[in-house]
Amino acid sequence: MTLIEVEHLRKTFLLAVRQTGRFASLRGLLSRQTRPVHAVSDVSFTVAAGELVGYIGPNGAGKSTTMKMLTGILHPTSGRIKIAGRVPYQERVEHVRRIGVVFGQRSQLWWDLPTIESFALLRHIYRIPLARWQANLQSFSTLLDLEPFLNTPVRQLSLGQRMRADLAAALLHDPAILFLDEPTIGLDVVARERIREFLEHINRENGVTIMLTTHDLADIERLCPRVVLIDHGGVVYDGPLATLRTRFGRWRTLIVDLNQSVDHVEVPDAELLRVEGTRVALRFDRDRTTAAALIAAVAARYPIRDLTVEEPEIESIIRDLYEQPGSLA
Amino acid sequence: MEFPGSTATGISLLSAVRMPINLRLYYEIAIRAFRRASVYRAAYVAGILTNAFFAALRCFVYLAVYHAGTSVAGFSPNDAITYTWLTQALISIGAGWLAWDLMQTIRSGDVITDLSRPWSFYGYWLSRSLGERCFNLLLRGSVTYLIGFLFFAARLPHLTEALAFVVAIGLALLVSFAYGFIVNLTAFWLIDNTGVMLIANIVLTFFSGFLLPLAFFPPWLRQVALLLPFQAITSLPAEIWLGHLTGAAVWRAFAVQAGWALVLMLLAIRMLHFAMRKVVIQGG
Amino acid sequence: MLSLYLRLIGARIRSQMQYKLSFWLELVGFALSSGLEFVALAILVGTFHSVGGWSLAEVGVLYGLSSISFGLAEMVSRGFDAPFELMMQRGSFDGVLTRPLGSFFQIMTSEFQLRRLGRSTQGALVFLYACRHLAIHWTLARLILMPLTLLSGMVVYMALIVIGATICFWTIKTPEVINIFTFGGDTLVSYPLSIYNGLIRNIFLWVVPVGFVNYPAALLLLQRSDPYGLPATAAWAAPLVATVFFAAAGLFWRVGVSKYTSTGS
Repeated sequence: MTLIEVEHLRKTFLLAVRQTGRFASLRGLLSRQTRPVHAVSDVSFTVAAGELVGYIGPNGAGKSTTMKMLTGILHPTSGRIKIAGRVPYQERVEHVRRIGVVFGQRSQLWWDLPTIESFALLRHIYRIPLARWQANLQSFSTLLDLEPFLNTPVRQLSLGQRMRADLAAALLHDPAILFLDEPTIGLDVVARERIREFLEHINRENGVTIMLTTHDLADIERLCPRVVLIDHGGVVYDGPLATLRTRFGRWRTLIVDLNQSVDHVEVPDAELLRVEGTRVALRFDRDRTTAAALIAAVAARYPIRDLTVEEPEIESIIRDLYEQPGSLA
Repeated sequence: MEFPGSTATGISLLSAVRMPINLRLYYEIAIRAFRRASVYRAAYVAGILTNAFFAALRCFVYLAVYHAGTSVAGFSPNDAITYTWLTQALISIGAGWLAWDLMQTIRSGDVITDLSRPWSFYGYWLSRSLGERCFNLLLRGSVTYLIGFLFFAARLPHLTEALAFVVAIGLALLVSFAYGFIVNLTAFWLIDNTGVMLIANIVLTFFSGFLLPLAFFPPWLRQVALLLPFQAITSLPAEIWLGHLTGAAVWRAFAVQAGWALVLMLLAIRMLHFAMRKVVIQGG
Repeated sequence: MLSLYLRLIGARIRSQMQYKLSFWLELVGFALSSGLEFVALAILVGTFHSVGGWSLAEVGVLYGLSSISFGLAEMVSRGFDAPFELMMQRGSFDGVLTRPLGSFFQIMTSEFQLRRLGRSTQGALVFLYACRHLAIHWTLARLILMPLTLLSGMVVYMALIVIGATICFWTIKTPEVINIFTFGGDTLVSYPLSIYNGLIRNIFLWVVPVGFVNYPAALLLLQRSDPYGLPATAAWAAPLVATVFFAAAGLFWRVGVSKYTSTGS
């Protein structure tokens, strides 16, 4: 069953252009010059019920803007969004009643009230039946270990505690979908792992569909069977994480152990990465040559004792992309 | 309240009260505060509009009460109007409200950095305040008064009165700063001193003659007002501007102002000393 | 909705009561602030015996009605003040839009300043004191008029606070100028509207209807007539004027929110 449908989503902001010259600020009041910025230029995807999707891309790629449109905060410039049969920005209240939202950087809790009181207020805001609320609270308290700080005011919680409380708060009303924007940002390794375990649990056991953005590649590798990768406002990849590797990892590394140590190795179509005694690492582009051809070329010049071909790490693929936005588009 | 590293900086904190005077440093601080104030254009335009509105409003009230046109309690209708515009023009130098910025640094804990620097903490805030208030006086105050001069015929003083006024304003700044410093400093002892600041503020506006010239006060209340330091901030400079004080009376006014400036400053520094001991010993 | 309102407000009050000393100091502070302002007004009117032909007790009626309304409005709608401004600056208004409640309702319940009752209490004391010194002929209609007047006044002041907050959607900071209409309005209508010039009178009656908060009702109670021909029966129109003004403020708020949802800031 399709839960989220997004078609040709587009969001264009009009940025005011600063006027310069005499009386600039006065003229700025009279006529505003603007220039369009396409935060999201064309994004389409669907998410089925029960999926856990990582929505990733470099800074400024349009992740947050998409998330804001999905959660009903922003209106799209054009395109179509349908979530559980509703258009978020047209039926905001009905839509948000059925979703949960967590922004990693900002708490949704009442900062000066004990955590449990925030939960109690949410019960009334979302009109959660008491029995349901109690059951959920009980379950999340156990899973997230909320008990020790339920009576502590939110402002006194540590970042990790606050995030756990925020997660519970976003799920008390049994939302069908959970949207998470950077849920592990700023947390230590232990806290991150705990949150990942929890997300995995509610996705598998409670059937909550989850869509999350993150900068932490470990989150993706650990959690997301599927990733939607966006860059420059458009989808550049949508599929399993494993395929991302074969699709975009052009670079391979050939490591050869020679019979004798060398100072330098010269082979066409390959770049020398390093020489460590008898071990030589060569980098080559899969599109320009093959491992077999390269091995033959090396063997023709030097006696080889052993060799391996290294696949690229998923991390390095994404890191390359994050460092050079647009390199895949 | 928690001050990170407060014990480590303890020694330098206590010595911060007695620092060699480096005028250049305080001049630089003041200049920067002056420039910073000049950046917030929207703020001072809004400020001028607000001050002019309240001044105009009070003028309508005076015009309504002075229907006979004769002087009351030594104030002619024009005196009342002049007094109104002048006090509104002086609002931005501390005649009408207390600055909250020192209190905010105490609440946020940023104060510890300022306390551990090799300068006089009092001198630092005084220079900041003087720089900012000089800007306010020169721009916000004078534009406000200009509106009063143009539309309500507020009085312009003679040269000697104007010179005396400048001296009186300088002394008034010292008094209002010291008072504000003392009130802000209560944040060291109270988690939330908003209430104290509110009360301190209304006491200032009432007894300084900002809300109403002291001349109109019933005699007993006037006696009370004259025993308090607040008249040095608003009433005395205004009376000099109006030409109500001349000759020896001007010198007496200066003496009263200087006296209060000194007393309040000593009190403020004494309080700062206690505040620092609290920070050092109890960690805030 | 009302029970949810009470719950959210209850939570606000409980959190403020964590600091009892601060609460009482602020309550006293607000009462003292408006109290000494009234003392200044009383000394002035006392010195000159009357202002625009109104005695001190008569001015007390004007002052009391406006102060009670303004204090109540501040108590219920200061969520539109600093808390909302902070939300805009930190970008946490997004969170408001992810909750299944209207944004107006959520901002209103984000703060509740019980301490502002200091002003209302002080205003009520002045009003009662003034009534004792005046021979007001209380009829049933006039008794009904009083709560209507106070409610209308409260609604007008609330609308002003909302308008000031809405400007935040464009400027991020509530412009200080709004104080001219809230605090300035309250001070202005503490004196009879007839002492001001035509421009000010008209602005404060027909553009920003703060004049309706108390002036027509005082004319009616004191059986006075306005020199510019405003009928005392206009007091009965105050609820209508307040409703229209509040609706306009609400509409403006919606424009602000839709600006936010189309630009995200």
